Amino acid sequence: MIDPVLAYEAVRFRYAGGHRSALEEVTLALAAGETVVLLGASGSGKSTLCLAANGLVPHFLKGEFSGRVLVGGRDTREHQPRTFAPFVGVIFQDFESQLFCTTAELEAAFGPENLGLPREEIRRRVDEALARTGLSGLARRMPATLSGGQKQRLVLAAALTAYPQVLVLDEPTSDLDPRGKAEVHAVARALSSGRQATALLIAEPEAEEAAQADRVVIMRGGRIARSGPPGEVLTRLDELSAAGIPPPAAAAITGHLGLPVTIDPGEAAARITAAGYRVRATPHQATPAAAGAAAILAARGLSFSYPGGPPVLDRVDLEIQAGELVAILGQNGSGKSTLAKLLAGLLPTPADAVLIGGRCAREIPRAEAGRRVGFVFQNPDHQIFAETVDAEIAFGPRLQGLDTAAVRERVEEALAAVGLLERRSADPFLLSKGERQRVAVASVLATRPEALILDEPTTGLDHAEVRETMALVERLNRGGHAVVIITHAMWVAAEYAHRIVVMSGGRVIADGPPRSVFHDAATLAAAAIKAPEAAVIARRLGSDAVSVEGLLGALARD
Amino acid sequence: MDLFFYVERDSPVHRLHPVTKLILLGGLCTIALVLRSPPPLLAFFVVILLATIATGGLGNVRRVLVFLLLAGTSALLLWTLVGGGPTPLFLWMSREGLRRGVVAALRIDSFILAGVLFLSTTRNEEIVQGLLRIGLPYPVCFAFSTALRLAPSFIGTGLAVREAQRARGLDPDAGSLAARLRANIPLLVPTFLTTIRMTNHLAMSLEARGFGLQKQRTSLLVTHFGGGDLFVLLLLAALLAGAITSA
Repeated sequence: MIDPVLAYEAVRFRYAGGHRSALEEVTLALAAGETVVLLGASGSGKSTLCLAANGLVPHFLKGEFSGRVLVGGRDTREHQPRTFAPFVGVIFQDFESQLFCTTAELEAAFGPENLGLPREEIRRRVDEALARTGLSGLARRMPATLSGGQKQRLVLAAALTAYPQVLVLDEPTSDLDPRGKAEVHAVARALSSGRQATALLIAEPEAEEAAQADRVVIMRGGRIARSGPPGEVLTRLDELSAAGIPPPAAAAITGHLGLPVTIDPGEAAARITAAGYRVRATPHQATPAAAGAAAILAARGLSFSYPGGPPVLDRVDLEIQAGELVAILGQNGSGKSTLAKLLAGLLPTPADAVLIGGRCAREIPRAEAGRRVGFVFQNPDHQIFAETVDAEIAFGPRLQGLDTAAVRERVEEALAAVGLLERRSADPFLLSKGERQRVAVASVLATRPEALILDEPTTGLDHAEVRETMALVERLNRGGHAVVIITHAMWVAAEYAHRIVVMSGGRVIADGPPRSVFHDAATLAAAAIKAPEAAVIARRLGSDAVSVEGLLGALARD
Repeated sequence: MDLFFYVERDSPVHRLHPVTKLILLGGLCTIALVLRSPPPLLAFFVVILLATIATGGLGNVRRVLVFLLLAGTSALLLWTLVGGGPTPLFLWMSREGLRRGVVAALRIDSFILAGVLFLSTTRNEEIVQGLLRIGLPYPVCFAFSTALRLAPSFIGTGLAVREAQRARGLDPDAGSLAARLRANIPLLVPTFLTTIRMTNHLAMSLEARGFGLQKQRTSLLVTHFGGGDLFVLLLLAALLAGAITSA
């Protein structure tokens, strides 16, 4: 390779106080205009690798560092991270904390202002970066008022104005809805092929966008386990599985059928047909909701707006029965979270538009509503406060006024349900994000609610953690809880939900089983959501399956 | 929810140079300190109030209304208690004490309102520029404006935490004072920890974007010292001189 713009040479790093190395002998080089996607489970070293690109590791986050990282030939150990600002832009996962100016254009100007560029040059770069990220019309807007996708693009624009040769993005789309994700990836792709030929290093938890990269790097336990073109790396199913990365659906299905593995959905469908597989009729499972039973949660002609704000919900009718597992899908701002909070009685409801257990939500005191409907928020850190996992989980039952023995019993039960019996005395703040999410679920379970609402329970978790969390949700549902999940992960909805509710502009625009919703092109387009890849392959084969397992079950050989 | 004070407008006060606005803030507070009798102080208070409203700050005045009333009433009561005088008026109050109380109340409310006027018409970035121009080092100015900015996100985090704990059945507003204080622990711990984590990310982001790289930092914001600035400064000087001679 001629003069890499970013080079890691045998980099090892162990965080101060860490018991194992976060990076082990990592050697990796990026050429101008190259896009490299890093894939790996939580703790595989992706984020550390990103933070080492401009010397934040080891200057800011300290520890034992060996080997070297070269940015345009300069060693990061010998210079402060800020000196690399004109060469490498690093964007972290949590984009909210990277916005600190009062307008979008000042945010984008912050970098070049630090570089001491003349005002006219700053103006030119700001206008250019906002145009490239599709934010031109929003230059004077306060960043806090932008949508998630817009905020993430603004963080990108703010990095672009420094004209870096390399952009490092740590899970840039994990909090975004499908449209936001697509927008950010489109901007990133345009950059690498653009005039400046920016090199991109993008860390991702799933392989979804990796097929478009020049190179895919699999990380496992701080090491690079495999590196190569997407078609070569993403077809190694055993290696992906060992690294905790879900393979693309096309690869999983062709691999499972013993066909030559491909990552292209069209190619997969062709290979499956050529091998003589046909779709057979499969009996559809009935939804487990008890017919005619009273709804546990109900919205009747529910309209809602926040004080002084525009309408958020517009005449929503929805009933959730005992035993159902319902996924609510839709863009950011479509009203999903507001609907969920209203169903849980967390917001003041208009008249008798919301019923909990058949009673008007307005008349139910907070403590009782909390007992009937559990609500798990997206960020577990907004609720965890106790010094041990035990004490955290006991908080809810104690608030209900239960005696010590009863509290004990509830805690045991909830710990067992989330698989944290062994971590009961641990400090919740020292647990991984996935474990903290489980503590949050357990603390709600301990109040034994009849219905459980989870707002994006899988955000920020790796594949194994998503599987664990969803297995737990499924168990709870089988145990009789009605469960509602809000999610942007289409495959999660396709695989686990009995019923899908699609929201757009404050209205429910579709409500039905995954098989019908994910094959209804008009609804998907109206809500700007994407069917899971397995559903795309299934449609080409004439099946209405929506998951890898579903499709495999529907295929038979002549 | 909008947690910032700045109101996007193009009023004459908005257009002033940040340094002029800083001097204006200092000058208004000095005048309030110098004036010693209730009628001119009341007139002065009304002028600031009208200026704030005229520049689009009515919403902000409403937001601080409770604070204005609280600060005003407590100043009034305190001074009637401790600022005794020879002429009895009513119960414990003396004529002189009441007068001092009214002066203190108007003074403190004028300070608050001058602050509201300043924050409604000045962007964070302008405050930084203004402080820089009067000779403070950039990191100090930046720390000041970051503190102003962190306040709203701190409140935002606090609201999210409150909602999460309410969902678990906690009612932070129910029961005795002791019960309410206890109910605040589950609110404070996550709020502080989330804020600390956010501050840490903010610091890394600043470093990554080259904060402190150049001694001479440039700025996209254009600030001119114009005729309006000169007019305001002269007017302020005249008012100040008048206040000092009348006092």
